[in-house]
Amino acid sequence: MTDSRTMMGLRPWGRAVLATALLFAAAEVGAQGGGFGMSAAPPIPGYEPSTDPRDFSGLWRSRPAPGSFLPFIIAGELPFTEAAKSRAEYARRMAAQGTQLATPHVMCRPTGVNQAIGPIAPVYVLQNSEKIVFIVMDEIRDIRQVYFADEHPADLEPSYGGHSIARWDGNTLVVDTIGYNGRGVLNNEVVHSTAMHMTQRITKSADGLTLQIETTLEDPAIFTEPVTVKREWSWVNGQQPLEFDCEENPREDNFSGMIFAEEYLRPICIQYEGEGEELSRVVCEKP
Amino acid sequence: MRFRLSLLQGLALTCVVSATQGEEFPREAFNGVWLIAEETPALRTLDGEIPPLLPEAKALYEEHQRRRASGDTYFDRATWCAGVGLPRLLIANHPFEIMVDKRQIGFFFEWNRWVRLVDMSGTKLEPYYPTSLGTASGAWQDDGSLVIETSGLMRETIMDHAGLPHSDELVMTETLRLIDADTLEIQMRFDDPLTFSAPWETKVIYKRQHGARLEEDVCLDRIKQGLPPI
Repeated sequence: MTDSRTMMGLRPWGRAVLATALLFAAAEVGAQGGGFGMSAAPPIPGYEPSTDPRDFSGLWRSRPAPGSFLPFIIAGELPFTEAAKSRAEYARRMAAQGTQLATPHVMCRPTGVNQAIGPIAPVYVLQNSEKIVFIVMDEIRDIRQVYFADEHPADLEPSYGGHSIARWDGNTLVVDTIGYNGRGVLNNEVVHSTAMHMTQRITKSADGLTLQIETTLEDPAIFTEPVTVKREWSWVNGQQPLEFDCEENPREDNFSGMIFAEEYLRPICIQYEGEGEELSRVVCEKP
Repeated sequence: MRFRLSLLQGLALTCVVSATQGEEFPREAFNGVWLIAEETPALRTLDGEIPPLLPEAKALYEEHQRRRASGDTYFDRATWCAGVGLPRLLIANHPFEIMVDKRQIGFFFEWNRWVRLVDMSGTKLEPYYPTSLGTASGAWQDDGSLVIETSGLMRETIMDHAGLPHSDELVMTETLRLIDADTLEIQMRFDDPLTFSAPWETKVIYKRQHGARLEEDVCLDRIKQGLPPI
């Protein structure tokens, strides 16, 4: 049994920061082949893909985005509004100087549309007649419940992940998501607004090995026109779920030099390393 | 081997119970949102006793209680929203949802959006590394109950709000059964020779939350507002 305490030499906060650094690197460096994953979990035998076109249950992994080696990047020239462009440029300038801009993703919050499009980690899908649930465990934890329904509830509570409903159009699942709280991220440079409306059309290949996902994003606060992104998720033959506890080690050095443009992201609990025999300890300020 | 024995033990136990209850439910009847029926800040044995702690673990348990009483909660990683693990998530006063799927059974805990996936492939999974929720393998029994064995539970978590400690050696075996359509019972057996002088069991009752849907809970946002972490 591997010990998580030394896994990759990094505790979760560190992994989140590393992941973000890689995102920027990917955006800068550009296209490379191959996949990307934070870890390799032991396989589970007996997981076979279903050829039922309406059965998405199982384990999937997003292929890298076109022009990147990561699935996470929404690549290409996007029709950003001036405000979104300015924010993205600011984030890149800070990154180039070695300064991290605190984003909800890095600060252990649910990730919004980004995780729904191109998650870095594998996605477990559970399904029954009432809903489909998309679960990311080995990265910033994300559980996206998609209900088979015709309408969103009238009294929707805004959230990072929004509220999702779905219907079948032939054998294509059409998912409609609204109700965002304006804190989810598009790509670690841009935060999307409460007006974000995401529509996804998900179709399974005849051999059961690929999900074709076409996502349309409408958010007048960040885009001058709707944006459509295509991704493919590949079937994975069973893999033991791993655990990523982002909040576990809020190490002081993870936050040093970080810029907190949004006050709510500033941590109130910080882990200080001990000196000599002294153990490291977490100290929380009163909010 | 231990898993097989546990399943047999669970099977024997559930056969006795189902013979007295006489009602069986389909597997999908476990689906839904559940909330613990009575607040359970401290786990007790079936006889209502403090679990049989070894001396060192007992001293640690008492220290946790003293620290909590004095307002020092840093022994409890919930303070900074780290995963509180099992069995604590199952006895917290927060709802969770069960979703039965053919390959896995999902436990979706509202508290800080934790997810537990129980593998139903029939293979006993070996933990890759210790985690707060451990590595869980489950099997349906002939009487409709579900037995789950979980190991690889990291020692940094505490088992209840009171501060009951455990080691990485803890093995938790749960037997889930529906008492009626709206009442779920989970009998839990704890085997941890580094913490307890003998295995012990407890039983927890949950009530179905009709029409409820889990909210997106973000612990870090909550503590930022001065609200309790758990």
